[in-house]
Amino acid sequence: MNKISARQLCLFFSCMAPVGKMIRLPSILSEQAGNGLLLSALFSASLQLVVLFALLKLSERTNLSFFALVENTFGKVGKGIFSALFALYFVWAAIYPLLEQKSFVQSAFYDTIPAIIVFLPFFLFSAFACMKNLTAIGRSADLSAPVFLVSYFALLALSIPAGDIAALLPFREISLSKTALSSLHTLNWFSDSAYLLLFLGHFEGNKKTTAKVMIGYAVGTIFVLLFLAVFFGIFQSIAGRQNFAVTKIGKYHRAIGTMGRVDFLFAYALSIVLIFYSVIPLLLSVESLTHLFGEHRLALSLAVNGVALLMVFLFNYRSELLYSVVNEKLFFLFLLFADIIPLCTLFFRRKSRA
Amino acid sequence: MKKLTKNLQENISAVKEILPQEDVLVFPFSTAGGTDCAVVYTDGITDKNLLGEQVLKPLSAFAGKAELTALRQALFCPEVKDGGDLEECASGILDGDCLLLFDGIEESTLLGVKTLPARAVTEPPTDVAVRGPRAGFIEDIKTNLSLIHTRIKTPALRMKNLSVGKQSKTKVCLIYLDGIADEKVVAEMSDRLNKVEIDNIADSSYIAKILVNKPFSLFKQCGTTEKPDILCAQIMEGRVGVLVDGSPIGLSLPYVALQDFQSSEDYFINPYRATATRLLRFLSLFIAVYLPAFYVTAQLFKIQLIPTSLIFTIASGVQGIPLSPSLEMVLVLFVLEVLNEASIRMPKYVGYALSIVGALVLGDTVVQAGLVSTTAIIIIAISGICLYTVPNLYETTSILRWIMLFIAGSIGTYGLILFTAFLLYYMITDDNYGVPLLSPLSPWNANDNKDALIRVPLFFLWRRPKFFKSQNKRRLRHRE
Repeated sequence: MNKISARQLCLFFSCMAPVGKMIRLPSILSEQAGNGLLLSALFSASLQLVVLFALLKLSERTNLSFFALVENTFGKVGKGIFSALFALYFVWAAIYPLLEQKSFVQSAFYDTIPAIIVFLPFFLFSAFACMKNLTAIGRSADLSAPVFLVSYFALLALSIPAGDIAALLPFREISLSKTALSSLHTLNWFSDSAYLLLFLGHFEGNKKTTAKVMIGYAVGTIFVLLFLAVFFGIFQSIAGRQNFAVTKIGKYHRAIGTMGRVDFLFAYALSIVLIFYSVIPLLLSVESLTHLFGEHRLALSLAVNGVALLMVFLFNYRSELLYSVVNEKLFFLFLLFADIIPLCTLFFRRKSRA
Repeated sequence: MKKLTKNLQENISAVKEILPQEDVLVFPFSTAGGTDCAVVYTDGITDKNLLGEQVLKPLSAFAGKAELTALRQALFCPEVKDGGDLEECASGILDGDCLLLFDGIEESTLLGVKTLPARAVTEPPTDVAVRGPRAGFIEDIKTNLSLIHTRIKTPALRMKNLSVGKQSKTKVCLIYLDGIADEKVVAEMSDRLNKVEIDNIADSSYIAKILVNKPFSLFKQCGTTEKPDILCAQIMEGRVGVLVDGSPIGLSLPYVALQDFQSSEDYFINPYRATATRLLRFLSLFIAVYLPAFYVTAQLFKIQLIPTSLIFTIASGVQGIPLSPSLEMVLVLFVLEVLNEASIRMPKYVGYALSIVGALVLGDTVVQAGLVSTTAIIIIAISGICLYTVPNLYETTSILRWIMLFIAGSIGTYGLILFTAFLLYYMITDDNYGVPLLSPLSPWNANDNKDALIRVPLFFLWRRPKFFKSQNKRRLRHRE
């Protein structure tokens, strides 16, 4: 019972993963790529699609998990090293999104910025969630889909009348170098293939699954692109300063005046999906460590969440510094773990040495 | 285990040694053929008329040989079984059966001549239906089983009788359909009931605690109903029904959370109306749990959530109120809970007076005195009413409402969101007998969702719910 169905994978990529890209990514892309933000996101998503396709093709040929493939290729020591590296990578990859979420919570959920203490219960939830196995991720994807779809389209309905999509034009003004650089600097948000790498062996790989997941990711990408387009259409030159897009894009609708900030209700609903999504790297870190230390999920979950909590505390007032270290200087780590290693997995031994 | 002998007097003495109670009576008599006999029974729970007509009369007139088969054939009683050893005989006597002993015959006979004061089959107060069957379970398990038998007439119907409780020896019956219910679930349930050592089973809720995986869970883990038509429908879907002697509440397992949003009436009315009502119940429950917390968090942490015009109304109402929004809400909710508890326990006529005192005098006076605002009372009143749209979930939701209120007053909006995420995550990872609590929403199943939060017309419900893993998948077919 550590399985994910093809439908759940499809929903994960179409309705869960896009939420992580709707908080700070729109403003970062707007700032770095200007009206080329769609191209930048499309480029990163295309790379992900290629990696996902390769992994899905691999899953059609073997039902082994990633760590089983590593063990077949590099032996038990190699498996231990990979487990430790991936555990560290997932914690590393989780830190900036967690700080992003923390800032989002402090800004969007309260009229006055509260102390960090309001965000800390997240780690209690996360410690609980990390004790569960991969089935929980699949089921949370099932539950997230209707919440995401209703909230996403409600927010779009509130925001589209205020947006001017023409702001994305003219295309000739798009700077390709800026676009490419912004793609590299936002790899943190486009590293979902690392998740699929760890899901290997936990879902039934066949042509149908490949088609479903690819469609799921493509639909998720369309959701993100549409959101980015509307966001840029509304804020245009000041889009780079609108940090928490989901709470910003709907506020200009006429209904807000009479009904209050109803857009917040949809943003809050999306936050539930965001919470589910934010837990995944930490859960996968625990999952990686179980290959090293055995099924001591409670202890491992407390350790992983303890480290994440410490990091959030350390970088509480240094999120910009963390952003520049994680996303601008060490972006190649995402390239390595989410793109290069998954592609290399294609060449791993599928038959046991024994 | 002590066995019976061929000597009647020794057997009577042995039984009286185990059952020295004064209401365990012995009536010795002889057949026309000269065989000495005796009946041993418990006074008060044995029907003496039946005993006289079906046992004593025919045996007194019996002039045949003193052989067990012949003697038993002479009886007019339809319920005749072997008594077994002394222990079993004693247990049968205490259960209302009559023990028949013959001199010179080692075997004993138990006769079903039980009579119990039972109330009539009436409409249960917790499961009222405007349309549809009105019969409800009563405390007598035999009557309850007969209500099931009248509705399910297939030979596949299985009733597995168990005796639970070291002292009470309460009869528990597992009811399921062979080939439709998952055999593993039935075996697991029987195993759990056989393994448990408990003195007394006062009600089916005791059995529910034994049968569920997480007895400490805040969420309900076992389906409950007072209506035989609902239990039968659940058995036909592939669940296992449980009836307990002395309890009018039937149980069903595996349980899924959405089943409590369904009412028996949903199946007798227009499906569109049924869907609308189910969604209304879901929305009401959501309002009941979240509205007080939302009001507090909006006032304390995010005033923008309230429309501007409403802010002025609320502001004028709360002006001069000495309590903070959260304390004000806690106070009103506490009063509601007290009134609720008192009105259930109080004698009916005092209850009316209490309603007047509670609703009119207290409600009106505290507002006039400036202790709480009108808005707070309106919000708690709405929440209180909404909570009763799904009475089966009252216990869980009333606790959740308190938790939400405390979180709203302390951590605020994010606390509510996070706790909601926690509840959902807990529910999606909670399985009972291999069936996820939130199915068919998570894991999603399109077929099972035809009769979950929505209800499609009857003729689309041709497949049994998938999550019960039934071998017989089809329940409806059109014949040309």
